[in-house]
Amino acid sequence: MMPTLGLIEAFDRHGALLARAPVTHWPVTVGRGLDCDLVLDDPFVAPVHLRIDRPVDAPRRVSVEVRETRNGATLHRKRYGSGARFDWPDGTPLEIGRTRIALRLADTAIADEQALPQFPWRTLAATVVLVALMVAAALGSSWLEAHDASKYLKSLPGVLLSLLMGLGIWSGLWAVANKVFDGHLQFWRHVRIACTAYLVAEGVQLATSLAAFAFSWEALSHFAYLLMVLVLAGGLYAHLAVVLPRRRVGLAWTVAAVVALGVPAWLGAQWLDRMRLSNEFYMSSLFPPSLRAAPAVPVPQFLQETESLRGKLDRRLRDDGHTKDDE
Amino acid sequence: MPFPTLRPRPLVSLLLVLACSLATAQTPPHPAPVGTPAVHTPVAVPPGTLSPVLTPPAQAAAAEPTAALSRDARRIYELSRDKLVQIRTLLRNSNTQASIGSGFFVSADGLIVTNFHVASQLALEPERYRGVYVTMEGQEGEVELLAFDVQRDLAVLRAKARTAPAPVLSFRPAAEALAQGERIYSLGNPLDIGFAVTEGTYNGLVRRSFYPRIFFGGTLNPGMSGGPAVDDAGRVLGVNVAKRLDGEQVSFLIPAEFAQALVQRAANAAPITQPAYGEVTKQLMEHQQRLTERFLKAPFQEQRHGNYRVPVPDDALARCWGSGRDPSFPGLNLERTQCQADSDVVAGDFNTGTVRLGYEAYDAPTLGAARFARVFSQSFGNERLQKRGNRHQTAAECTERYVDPGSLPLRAVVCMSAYRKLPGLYNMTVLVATVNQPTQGLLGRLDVQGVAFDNGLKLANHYLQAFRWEAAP
Repeated sequence: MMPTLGLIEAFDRHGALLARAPVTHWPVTVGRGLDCDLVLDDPFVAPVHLRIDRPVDAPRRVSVEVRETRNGATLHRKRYGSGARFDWPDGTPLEIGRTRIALRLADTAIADEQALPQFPWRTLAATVVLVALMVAAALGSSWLEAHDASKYLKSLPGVLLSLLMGLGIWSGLWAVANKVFDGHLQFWRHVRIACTAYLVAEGVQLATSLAAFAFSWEALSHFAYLLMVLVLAGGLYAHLAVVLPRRRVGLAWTVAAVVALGVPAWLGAQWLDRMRLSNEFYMSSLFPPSLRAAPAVPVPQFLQETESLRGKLDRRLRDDGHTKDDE
Repeated sequence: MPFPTLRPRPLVSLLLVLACSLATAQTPPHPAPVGTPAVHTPVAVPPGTLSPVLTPPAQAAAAEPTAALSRDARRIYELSRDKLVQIRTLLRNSNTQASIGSGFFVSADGLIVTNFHVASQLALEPERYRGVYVTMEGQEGEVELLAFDVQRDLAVLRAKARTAPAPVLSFRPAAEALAQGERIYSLGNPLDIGFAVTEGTYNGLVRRSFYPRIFFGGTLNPGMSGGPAVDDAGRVLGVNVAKRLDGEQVSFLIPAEFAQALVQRAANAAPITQPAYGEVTKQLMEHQQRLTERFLKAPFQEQRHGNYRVPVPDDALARCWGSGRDPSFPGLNLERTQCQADSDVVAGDFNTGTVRLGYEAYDAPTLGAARFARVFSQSFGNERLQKRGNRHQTAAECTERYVDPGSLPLRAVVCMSAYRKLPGLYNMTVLVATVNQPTQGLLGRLDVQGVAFDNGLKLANHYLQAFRWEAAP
């Protein structure tokens, strides 16, 4: 019996094994032809697509020759056409057509045996902590708005239930998508992402309105909604990256492009519609007075600044588009 | 005369709404015939809403049975019937009625006195509207607008192409003061139903009215606007102008002296054929100047809310109403105050010239600082502002800052929006939230309509400087 020199395997785009052949001699051919050593069913693969060899003079190398093919082969995102020759580093996947080829050599060291995963106590703890924090944040926020303790306590179960149901449905839908595209549910992972996004959003909102109050940074309050858009985009990216883990780079670009195009488009539409970029006319979030750091100015100084309204209103009279309607 | 049909027309319903907001006694033509209970007596208006307002048309009360009238009323009616006219503004294109009111001849060459709000479309959109007068006999003729007084709500028209000298109502001499309770008769054409005389009493001048108005204890109805109110001898003592919606037989007349003055001004005036926004603006400028001076002349009165001292206008200048704790907010003591100066004027199809002040004082010792801050913020954040521009004015622009008038740090916001066709006039809103106590707070709001920019800032300064905190001894 011939010794096994290696193992050549073919996977589809999702990582499922399509074909495998032990290597008993060099060179090895890959293609659709039945005389190949590794026979593939991929219609984008030539009858004899690749010839793989280990040169005698350099036994550590694996060299690949691309045969008569229309689509060539791709290694490290570099495409090699018909007749090209190149070295195939150990452990790197090589793409031909819609198929990914991997090669294991007999003389390569075998990685250590991995321990079976333990029960994920840490992940569980993280999940519990995140859900608890989110519930605490939501209940705290509704407590701030409640005027009556007994009414608040009565409404508590309802609030809690709707919160958890909302979280469950949201994460559940992502988990279904995950199952469809990636084969795993990853429900709890989506729960963690959702909770984190919620907490970050609450934190950002609190921080911006507090900073706006403390330092009288009105602009921060007027445009806090843009920060919220970024948080939302981050959360969506995190969910999507779990659903399509191999497309992370593409997803990141997509989400970034949607934000980069959507936000200016929305701002532009706001400007055209009402000549302002924020719908907030004035900062309305007030905190206990001890948190105020910005000084209070004398009334005349403030009214002097108010003079600037005259110019702004003149511009509005000129440009806000209502004058023409009347003519 | 083609009488209104049952079928409501869109124009009419629009006008109906307009008319309601006009706070005057002008009648748009309305489609409901007598007997159709189109609109009932307005529901009790909360005491805060005080402006004189007109009833929506279709009050069946319009044509009270004449049997109720005394013999005097009958004499008055006979005496003045040929001197009364109905004033209609018609759309030039379609010749349909846009609004109607009443008027009366004051000179043989055909000068007619009516309200500005009856003739405002002739002043502001002469290219779209024309005016006609209709006598009690149905004789019709064109009118031209000669002069108007926006502040007093008066206009003088001239009947064109009139050959015969007009029969004239004479004015009661100013020297002959009216006695409280004296009988007066108001004439006009309510709701386009027909000429009517209503009897009532003279009750002196309206208290706190910015411009003198006679308090007429009788009925006025939409459509009687601009009609004369006469004494027992048939001499004009006032011009019908408005009524209160939340009361019965609480109506208002413009004293005749202002009509007389305007007639003198109009006698040699050229007819107005171009949109008269310039003149309207000029008169509104005078109005706001007078208003600002009145407010700045005296310091504000101080009103206490806990340790807060807030400014309210002098009692002679504005009415204030207050209310106590709101049962829907347990654990929160909330006091409200609303003040309004009775100074609004009709400037075409909108009102302006009013000054309003409002306060909400919060005290919630048991609520805790965080929850109080949330409640207080929400209340501060829900103020209504001119969010979008419309054809009268632009959207608001605001500035904001922490200010300290001395003893009380405030978050102050000043918002202004500009009138499009009244250059130099603005609506101003000043919002105030105190930031000195963790579980007490006060929100204030000052609205000034139709004010010049500089005067607005002067009023804002006067207002903001008057807030004080008086620590407990």
